[in-house]
Amino acid sequence: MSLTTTSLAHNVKQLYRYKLHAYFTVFGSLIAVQLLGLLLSLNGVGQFATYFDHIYIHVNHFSANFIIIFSLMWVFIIAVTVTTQPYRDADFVFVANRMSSHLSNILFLLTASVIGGVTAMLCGFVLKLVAGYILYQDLVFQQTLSLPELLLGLAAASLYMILLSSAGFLAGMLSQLHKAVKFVLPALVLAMLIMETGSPRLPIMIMLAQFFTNEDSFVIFVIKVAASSSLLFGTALLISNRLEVRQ
Amino acid sequence: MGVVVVWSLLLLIVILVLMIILIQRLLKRGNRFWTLNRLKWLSGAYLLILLLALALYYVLPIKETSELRTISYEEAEQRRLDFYRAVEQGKLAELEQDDFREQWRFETYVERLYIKLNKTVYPEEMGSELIVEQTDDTEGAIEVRYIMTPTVIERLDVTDQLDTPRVDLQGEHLFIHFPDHQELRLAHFSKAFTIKQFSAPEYIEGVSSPGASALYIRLPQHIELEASDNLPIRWVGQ
Repeated sequence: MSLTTTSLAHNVKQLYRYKLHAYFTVFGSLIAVQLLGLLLSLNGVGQFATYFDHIYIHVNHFSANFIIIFSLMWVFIIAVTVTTQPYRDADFVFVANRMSSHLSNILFLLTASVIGGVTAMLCGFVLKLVAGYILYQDLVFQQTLSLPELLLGLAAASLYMILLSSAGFLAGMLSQLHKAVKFVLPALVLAMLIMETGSPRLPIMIMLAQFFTNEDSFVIFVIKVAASSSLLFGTALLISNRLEVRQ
Repeated sequence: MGVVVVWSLLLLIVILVLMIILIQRLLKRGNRFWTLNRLKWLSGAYLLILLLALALYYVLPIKETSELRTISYEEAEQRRLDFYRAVEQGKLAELEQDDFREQWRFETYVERLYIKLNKTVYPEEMGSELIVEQTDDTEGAIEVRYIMTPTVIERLDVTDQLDTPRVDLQGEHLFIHFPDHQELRLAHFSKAFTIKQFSAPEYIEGVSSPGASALYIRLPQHIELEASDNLPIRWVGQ
C-alpha cells in the first residue's frame, strides 16, 4: 500500500513537472488575454458626466475587473483543454495511470490559477499607471490599496481562478463522456444565464455567482471555494473512472 | 429579459469564442513563433513589467486627489441649502468661511458704478447669483467676494479645481469675467471586485452635487449702481 502511494506521488510529481514545461505556451496565451483585457479597460469600465454653469466634469471609472474576468475565462478554457484527447494521450508517454494523469492536471491547474490570479491583479497596476499617467486625466482619485488589501485581492483572485478551473475541468471531463455533452453543456449554461428564479428574480447563473461574490467574510469565502472546487474536481475524477483507459 | 442583458450575453459569447480561438491558436503545437525560449523571455519581461508597475504605484507621487478632502453628499447639500437661506435673508457673512473662495478690494472715489459681464456669458445663463449690498463697512472701497459651496463628485470636493470668475475695476466699470467653459476630467480607480467584496463600500458612483455660487458685491452707500435690466441682481436689505 505504502509502495503504491509513493509510486503515485512520484508519478504525479514527474507528470506535473513535465506539464509545467510542455504546457508553458498556456502562459503565453494568458499574457495575450490579460493584455486584451487591459486594452479594453483603458477606455474605462464606466463613465459619468455632469454639466453645470459652463463646467463639464467627466469621470472615467477604471478597474482591473475586465482583466480578472478575462483571466477567469482563460483558466476555464485551459481546464477544458487539458482534459481533451491529445493532452491526455501525451500523459501516457510517461505512465498509463489515469489517476496520476488527473492529479497532475489538477496540480497544474492550481498552479495556473495562482499565476493567473496574481498576474491579473498586478496587471491592474499597469492599467492605473497607463490610464493615470500616459492617458491624460486632470485628476486621479482612488482609495490607496494597503498591503493587506493587496494580499487579500491576490488570494481572492487566485481562489476565483481555482473555482473556474475546477468548473472547466468538470465540463471538459463531462464532454469526454459523450459527444452530445459538448452541445448540451453550453445550452445549459445559456439557459442558466437566461432563466430567472428567486426573489428578486435573477438568472440562475447570477444567483450561483452571488453565492461567492456576495460573501464578505474571507474565511467563509475560502471554505466555499475549497468545498466547491473539491466537489467539482472530485466529480470530474469520478466521471473519469467511467472513461476507458486512453479513451 | 432586457435588451441590454441580451446584448451583454451576446458580447460575452463572442468574447468567449474569440478567446477560445486565440488560445487554441497559441496552444497549437509546432507554432514557430511561440518557441519555448521566446515564451520564457516574454513571460519574464511581462512579470518584470507587472512588478515594476506595482513598485511605481507605491513610489510615484500620483497626481491624485488624496490631498483633496472627501465630503458627504448630505453635507454638500446642507451647505447649499444654508447658502440659499443666507441669500434670502441677506446674511451672507454668516456662511462658512470655506465657502468664500476669492475676494477683491478696490479703493475708488467713483460716484457711479457700471457692472459689465464678459460677452460670452448671457445674464440668463449665469450660474452665479449677483448680490449687492450697500454699506459703510467697507471704508469707501468696493469689495467683491466670490462664494461657492462645495461641488462634490462621488464624495470628492472638487471645488478648488474649478475656475473662479475674474473681477476688475476700470474707472466706473466693474468687469466680471466668468469662465467660458471648463472641462475637468477625472480618473476614478475602483478596487477590483476581488477586494471590494471584503471591504467597506467605496464611493457611490455617479452621485454629484454642484455647488451654489454668488458674487457678493459690497458698495459704499454713496455709489450709484447702474446695471442692465436683464442682469439678475439681488439687493441685500431690500
